[in-house]
Amino acid sequence: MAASTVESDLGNVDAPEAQVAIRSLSKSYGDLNVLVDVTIDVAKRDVLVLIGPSGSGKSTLLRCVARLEPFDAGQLWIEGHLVALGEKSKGDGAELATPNHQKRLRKEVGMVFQEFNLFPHFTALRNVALAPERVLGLDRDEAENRALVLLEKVGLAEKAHEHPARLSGGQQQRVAIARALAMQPKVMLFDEVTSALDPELVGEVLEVMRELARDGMTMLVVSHEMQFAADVADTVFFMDQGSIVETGSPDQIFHEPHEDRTKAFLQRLLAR
Amino acid sequence: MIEFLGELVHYAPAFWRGLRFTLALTGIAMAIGVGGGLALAMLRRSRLRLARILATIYIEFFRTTPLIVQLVWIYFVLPIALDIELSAFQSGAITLGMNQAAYKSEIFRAGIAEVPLGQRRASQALGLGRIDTFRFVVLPQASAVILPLFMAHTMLLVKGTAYVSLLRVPELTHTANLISLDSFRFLEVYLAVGVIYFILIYPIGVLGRWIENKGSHKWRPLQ
Repeated sequence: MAASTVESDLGNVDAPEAQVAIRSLSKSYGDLNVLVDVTIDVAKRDVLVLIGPSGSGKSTLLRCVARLEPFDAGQLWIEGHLVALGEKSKGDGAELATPNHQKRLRKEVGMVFQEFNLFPHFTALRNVALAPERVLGLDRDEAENRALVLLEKVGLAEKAHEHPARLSGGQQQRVAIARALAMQPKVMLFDEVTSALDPELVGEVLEVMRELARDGMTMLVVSHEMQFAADVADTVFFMDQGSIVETGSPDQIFHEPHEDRTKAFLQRLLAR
Repeated sequence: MIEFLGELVHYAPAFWRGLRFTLALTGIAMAIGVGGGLALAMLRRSRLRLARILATIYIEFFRTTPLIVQLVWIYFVLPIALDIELSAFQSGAITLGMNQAAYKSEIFRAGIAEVPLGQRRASQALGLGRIDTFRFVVLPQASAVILPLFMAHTMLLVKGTAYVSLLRVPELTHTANLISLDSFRFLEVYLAVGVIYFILIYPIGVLGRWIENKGSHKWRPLQ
């Protein structure tokens, strides 16, 4: 579909070219504003890192992009198609993709969670193969072959037949990454994926993510791993109280932050 | 007493028939109970308020009235209300099943609530729909949680079939009643029928523990 012109309170808006375009997204729980007018464009092959204190809305933002949660106002575009619209932004004239199309575009976004959320009753292999089988309609052999290739990629082929309870946290998280990759998404969301890990297990997970970045995966990452951000991020966003306070290159954000809130946060982070 | 226990063999065909009726009542009530219980549990999680309210009324009705009262109601009132014919066996099986559905739905609901939200989120993020998420992610995990309660409750169901003797369905208890009236050997007959119930019910508990140990240990976290 060619870029379509959409009437909205943002004026005449062409369908964004970014792989994921988050436009003026707002969300509140009662009086609490979780997200305030957040706009981010994630271009193809971009690695964007979101940092900020807990409760700043980073994880909620990722869940909105993965469409695990609705939002109140704003637009979410994937590959130039409007896939979700806040209740308050309906009537702006923007036209949503058809439900079937939305479903298809949903598969373009993979997500990895802080708590892994592997299915404990399945082996690593079944964890990875389930969605390709059920959602993409691959037959069992195809799905398991694909799963094995991905487990190999994250260095866990020999653990394919283990249940998650028998794997370390780092191994579980690598399986979770493989599971998300099995749907062949164009964008990967990482929600503090190393925060629940023992320090000595963080490296192996970051290594997998670095490799993904090198392969050109588009990534939106919530993380406090500054070295990782410095190495792979194209842009770092500092969020506080639901809004984006500062945006810049990792170098600028980490070494010459302009905003006081960013400075204070980085100081606290370094003091840990 | 000992010699009469030997004479009980003459009544073996009657006991056998009673056993078959008890098993049939159990089986049908189980099927209605599991199917209906799952449906009720899902209705109670429905987005539609009316569905939630109706399910709650159903469940509370069956949980707050005695089974015997329910049996009489369904045997005498349901045929008139719906203008259908129900045999004593049919109404007994239906009542037990509907009663089971109410209790089992509460067990299922508790099990489903035990499955962490993150599991559903992960499944949804992978693109699995509501039904696939329930079938492949929620249900297997919920089943493992509720298994002990489910089995204990199934043991109660087998014993509950004895109430259907009230409608003169020739299941084990009614059979025992008839035989003891025929032989005037109440103690011996009820001893025998007690043993049969025990043989029927005890393995259910054993089976439950076996599945519990066998099935899910691989995916329980190592302590």
